[in-house]
Amino acid sequence: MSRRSEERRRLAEEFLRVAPSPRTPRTLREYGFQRIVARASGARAEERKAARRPALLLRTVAVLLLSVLLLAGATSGLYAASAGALPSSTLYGCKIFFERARLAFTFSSASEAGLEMGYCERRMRELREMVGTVDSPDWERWLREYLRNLARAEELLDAVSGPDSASLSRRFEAILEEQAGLLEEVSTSAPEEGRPYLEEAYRECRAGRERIRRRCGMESGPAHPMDEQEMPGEGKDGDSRCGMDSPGAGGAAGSTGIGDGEPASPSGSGGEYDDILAPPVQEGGSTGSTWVPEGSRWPGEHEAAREGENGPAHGRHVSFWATCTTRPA
Amino acid sequence: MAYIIRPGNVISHGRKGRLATLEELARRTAEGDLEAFEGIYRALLDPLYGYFFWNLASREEAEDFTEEVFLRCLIHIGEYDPQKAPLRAWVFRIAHNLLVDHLRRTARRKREASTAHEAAEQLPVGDSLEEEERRRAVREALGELPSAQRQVVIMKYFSGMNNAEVAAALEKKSEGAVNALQHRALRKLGGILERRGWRG
Repeated sequence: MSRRSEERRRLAEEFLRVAPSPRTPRTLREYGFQRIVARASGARAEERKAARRPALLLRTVAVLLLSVLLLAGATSGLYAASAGALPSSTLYGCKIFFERARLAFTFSSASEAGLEMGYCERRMRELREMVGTVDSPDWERWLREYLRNLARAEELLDAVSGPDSASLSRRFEAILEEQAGLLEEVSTSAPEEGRPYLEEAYRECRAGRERIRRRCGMESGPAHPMDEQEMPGEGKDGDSRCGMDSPGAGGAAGSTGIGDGEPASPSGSGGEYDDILAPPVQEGGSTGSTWVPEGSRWPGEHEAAREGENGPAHGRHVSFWATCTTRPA
Repeated sequence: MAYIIRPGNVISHGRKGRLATLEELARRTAEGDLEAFEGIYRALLDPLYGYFFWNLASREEAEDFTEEVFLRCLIHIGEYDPQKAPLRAWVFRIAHNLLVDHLRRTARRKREASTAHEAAEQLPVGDSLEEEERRRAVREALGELPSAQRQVVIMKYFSGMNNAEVAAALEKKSEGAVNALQHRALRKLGGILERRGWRG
């Protein structure tokens, strides 16, 4: 067996020894080296290029990151630029968009209500600027947004329960009160074409305040010519949740505010608006309270009328409340 | 310009016929000396071509793969470490890996079917029909050997490598293992030749 193996091995070795070697092709022998060197230099250039070029994944991540940064930068830039936009500005739409976007990302009714209240205050700041600086303000757009903010804030307050509800209602009531005063103040210097819008804003502001007060069982504020108008979404008898009808609103139901009819007198004494309902104190001790039938007068007109009769008005709420709601003693 | 392979892998290269080992040429190539690489190329061209020729049985493929091995060798010559293996073993390891990848991709049966047809058609100028018939007989006999045995036989008998170089080229095989593989391969090949009636 071993001998046979050895014979086979020798046979194989002999077979391999006489096997004719292949001839290396002439192309390889003569041009192969130059071709290889040329290909290698090309490959090295490619490698260098590839080394300089970051990996595809890295590039993708970098592009995505850059896009996100650019988008964030553009968004924040737009946000900053639109922050001070007024309704007549093209950026105002962006401002409103950002406000709504922020609301969309707020998931608690209390927070949303707080935001809407903040936006109401923002509308007031816009109003100041519109009256002071803008040549042709877009009153309609401003009013639309303001009313929307008011309605939405009120709606959201309904959805809030617990201690938040009371505190938010108080806050909203305070805001509305302040805004009513501001609307009154601004109306004096507002151009003629803006007055109807301010009038409506004022009416809604007051109506909203009354509804808030009634809902929470607060003592109703003084009646006001504007309050006597039937409020949107409010019955003549009121719909107080707390079972307390607002004397001011209920008593004055049916009468009209500015422009039509007799205003209701403030119900009861000692109301929180007594100070502003009282006629302005004039020099010499006279109150100078002269009843001016409201007729179609708007705050500014009342004040002008008062100033014409009694000299310049004094005090914070001299003109509007006094001239609209006080009756001669 | 003469390139003479001398014992101990010391070769004469360059215009002045300087003597250097393949490892020395590799070092110089890594430093950017293309003339040194030409020395390597001339020294290893025939063994490499033979390796691919007997494994693939296609002149065109053997030519392409030979060129590809030298190209990779030139590109990666900086990674070569003479302490780990002789240059010839390193180059043949590249060749072996390339071959294995190629064989994996190609369907073996298809390749074998086309071999005879291709060999008959591609008879190079100067080769006699008898030589080509003998080559085909060698290829067919080698084709019956297991892959590892065939590699050892081709490297040792057609590429002029010693056991240490074959062991390094095939990786994870000691010289003893290469020797054992060679003996088994020769016995098996002898048996194949006997069956075919070859008497030398």
